[in-house]
Amino acid sequence: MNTPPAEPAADPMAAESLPELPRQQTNPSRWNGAGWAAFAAHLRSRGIEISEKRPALAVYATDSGGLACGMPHGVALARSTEQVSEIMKAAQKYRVPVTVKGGGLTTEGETVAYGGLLLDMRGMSEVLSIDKAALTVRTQAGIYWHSLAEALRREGLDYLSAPLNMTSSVGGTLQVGGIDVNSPRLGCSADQAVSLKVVTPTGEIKECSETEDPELFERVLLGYGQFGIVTEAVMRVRRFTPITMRYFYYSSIVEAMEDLKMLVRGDAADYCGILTIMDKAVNLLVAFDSDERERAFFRTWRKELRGHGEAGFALRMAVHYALRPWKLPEALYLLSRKNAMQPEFFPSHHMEKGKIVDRTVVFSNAVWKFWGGRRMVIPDLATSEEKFVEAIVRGNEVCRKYFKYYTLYCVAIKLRDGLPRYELSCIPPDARGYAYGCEFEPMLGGAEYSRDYLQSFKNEIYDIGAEMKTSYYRFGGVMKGYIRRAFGDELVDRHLALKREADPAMVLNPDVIF
Amino acid sequence: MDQDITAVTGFGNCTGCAVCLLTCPVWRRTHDVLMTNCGRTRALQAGAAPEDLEASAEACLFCGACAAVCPSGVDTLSLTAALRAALPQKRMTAGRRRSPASFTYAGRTVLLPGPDLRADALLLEKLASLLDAAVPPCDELSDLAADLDAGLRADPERLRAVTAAAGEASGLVAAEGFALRHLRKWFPALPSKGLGEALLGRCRGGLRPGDLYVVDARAFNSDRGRLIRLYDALRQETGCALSTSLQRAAIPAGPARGTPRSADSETQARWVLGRFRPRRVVVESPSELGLYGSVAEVPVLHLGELA
Ligand SMILES: Cc1cc2nc3c(=O)[nH]c(=O)nc-3n(C[C@H](O)[C@H](O)[C@H](O)COP(=O)(O)OP(=O)(O)OC[C@H]3O[C@@H](n4cnc5c(N)ncnc54)[C@H](O)[C@@H]3O)c2cc1C
Ligand code: SF4
Ligand code: SF4
Repeated sequence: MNTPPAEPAADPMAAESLPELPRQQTNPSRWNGAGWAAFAAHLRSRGIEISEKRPALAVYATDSGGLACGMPHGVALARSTEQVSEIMKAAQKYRVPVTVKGGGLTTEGETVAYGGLLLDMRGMSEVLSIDKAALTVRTQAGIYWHSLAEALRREGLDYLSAPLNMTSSVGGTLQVGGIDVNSPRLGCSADQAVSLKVVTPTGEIKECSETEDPELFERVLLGYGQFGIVTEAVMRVRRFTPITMRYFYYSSIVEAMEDLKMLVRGDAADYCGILTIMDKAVNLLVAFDSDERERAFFRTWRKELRGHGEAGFALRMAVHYALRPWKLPEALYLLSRKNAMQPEFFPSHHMEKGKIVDRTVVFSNAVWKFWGGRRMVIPDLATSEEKFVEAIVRGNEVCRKYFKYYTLYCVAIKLRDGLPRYELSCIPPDARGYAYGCEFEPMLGGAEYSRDYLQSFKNEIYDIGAEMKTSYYRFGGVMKGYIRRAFGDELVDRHLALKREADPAMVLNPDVIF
Repeated sequence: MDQDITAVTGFGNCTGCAVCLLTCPVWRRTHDVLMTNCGRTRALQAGAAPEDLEASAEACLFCGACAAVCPSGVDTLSLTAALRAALPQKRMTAGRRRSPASFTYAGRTVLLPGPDLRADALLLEKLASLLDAAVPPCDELSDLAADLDAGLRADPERLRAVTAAAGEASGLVAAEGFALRHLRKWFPALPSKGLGEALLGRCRGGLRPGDLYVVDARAFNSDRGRLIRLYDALRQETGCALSTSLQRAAIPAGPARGTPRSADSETQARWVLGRFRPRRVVVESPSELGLYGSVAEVPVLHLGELA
């Protein structure tokens, strides 16, 4: 097929991505709408509902970041693989951009449609079958992880790992990664896919897995929605277990990160990660699926950790601030934040004999309550084990420079080294065995920051990545200027060529990566 | 819009997190965000008018599950009621039947049964006697609450007349959970309870492991922060299972007052039953008694029948 692209010849990130030039990333310009009326009429003639009413469009005006804004020409709810296929065939023919949205928890506008069709995958949210013997589930891809967990629980099962918020979708997560506090053991969500049903950018319906059309499988996973729309996924699952959670407190992020690396390498806990209040109260959390694992941890690893228990840490902090009375407001902030947060992590109605049941709900409620907002800025760095500490220390300095209050959230991800899907993804090219990630999230509260201020903050974090040759979890959309800097022209051009081949009109999720 | 909905409901705080979708029965049925509270708030934030959201506002079952779980504290029910009220065709509440002056609320616990419980005279009599409660001859309070939820504006005269009399009661027990939100607003000093909470003292002893206890979602969600502990203690003490969701909110199977039971109600009831596979079902809400009775293959009884 010789279809001209929907956009003027795709310009793979231009001069603005050069480090010495100021970069003020903005929304892409809006698609001009040529062909929309014929496209919509064609789909309607085939019984596909497209809403062009303003209130319906307005709901999709932004993503979780709340900073990138755009309006589609129309919205369709995905209802079946066949319907999605019809849409993509028509999109190629009429050269109409299609932006796919699952939970829409992107923060850089990746799920914002700057014109064209917004395809809401959540219309496909059914669990199709559960195989208890094989420990797999077949589900429609628009389903929220929470709804999947709810269906699995009925069978005594649970998903393996998923983002710490309940309202991301399975399909969207497979495109970007999916990091949980058990990812140091279990890897990211994308690595738990057994097979996928995919609608290609040209509308073909294909099944793929590691053995059936593995090339497509590898392209689509961690593919940022560039190479196909996942409509169904078979995912690995496991038996459900309540978990026991323990905290260790540090006043040094470096010590905490080194200890995290030690625990990850030693497979010491079933779950672990770092959550901080600025760089003052650093919390290394570990959790266990069984009492045996917990006992083994305390036998072998506890003595190696430099972190303190709660009482010991409180005492040290009291002494620290008693000697620095001018820092009282900071101490009060730490105390009030801790007092507010702690009960949310151990709510009695989600506890059973000292263990947390429904961790998906507990974590997610806390995430939205304490870190959610109408605007969210969460730049991150994804590094190899070797670069982790340096990158995060530098990122922390940037946070301090821009914001009074912020949080760092660090996790590790177990890798299956050498998988093609890791190329041009959040998995850093030089990571072996494990990758590490850190999110830098300012507490914006009610304060009004200008878009430029927030963008400058993100740029400074991302500059560290470009300089250290790391990767990022959120590198698309408004931040795509960094892709070439981080990965180099050769790799990006190779992927761009693949994209052009797969999507001749360049209509599926434009403006996200290329 | 003739009232400042933002000020009333805090919808400006909505982050669009979609946590409320997870418990919303309308979402479960449609998977269309515009039909949910999340969709309504996001559309309003982007400048939509109430008329644009009519179908969405009218579809809401007023179960309050969204309000119960919203991490940003959006007053979702007031928002939907305000949207309904702002629709052009909405009028003032009509004066419906009033209790005769001979019925006195003063100094008594009053059970507000609603039409479904009234239709089951035997059960009503039993519950009233268990609660040692008086039953007014008509449902003026819950009718008024239903009208307000429907978006009708309260006739100030009617509101004053109805609430003045009922304010003399020593306590109110609402068999229709949706009324509690209003009762607590009208009578902040008066204990207002759902039927389940009021009966549990007398009936909890009859619960046993293998029972599925179906909470009245609208009553539970109206005061979830407090009731969640009460019901959790009940679960641990008796070994029964609770019908609450993974988020510990309650999703109703029964339709909103005044709307007919549909296949959706049955689907929801089956979904709840499918999770627990109980030996017996005990329900709080009289209006869900028949519904669960028609879909469950195990005995279904009202909580009051355990006494
Ligand atoms: C408060 C908050 C907390 C977060 N916590 C975590 C965390 O703990 N761990 C973590 O890993 N991430 C986290 N994230 C990031 C977010 O969860 C991930 O981006 C998320 O998993 C994406 O899922 P989604 O359904 O929201 O995808 P979307 O945002 O809808 O989409 C992501 C990308 O995939 C494309 N896409 C969506 N659905 C499909 C499909 N079916 N087929 C093809 N392409 C598709 C979209 O076009 C887009 O480019 C967090 C984000 C926020 C805002
Ligand atoms: S839960 Fe609250 S903040 Fe989140 S989308 Fe619903 S109303 Fe908005
Ligand atoms: S009240 Fe119930 S039906 Fe209405 S939006 Fe909230 S959860 Fe949905």
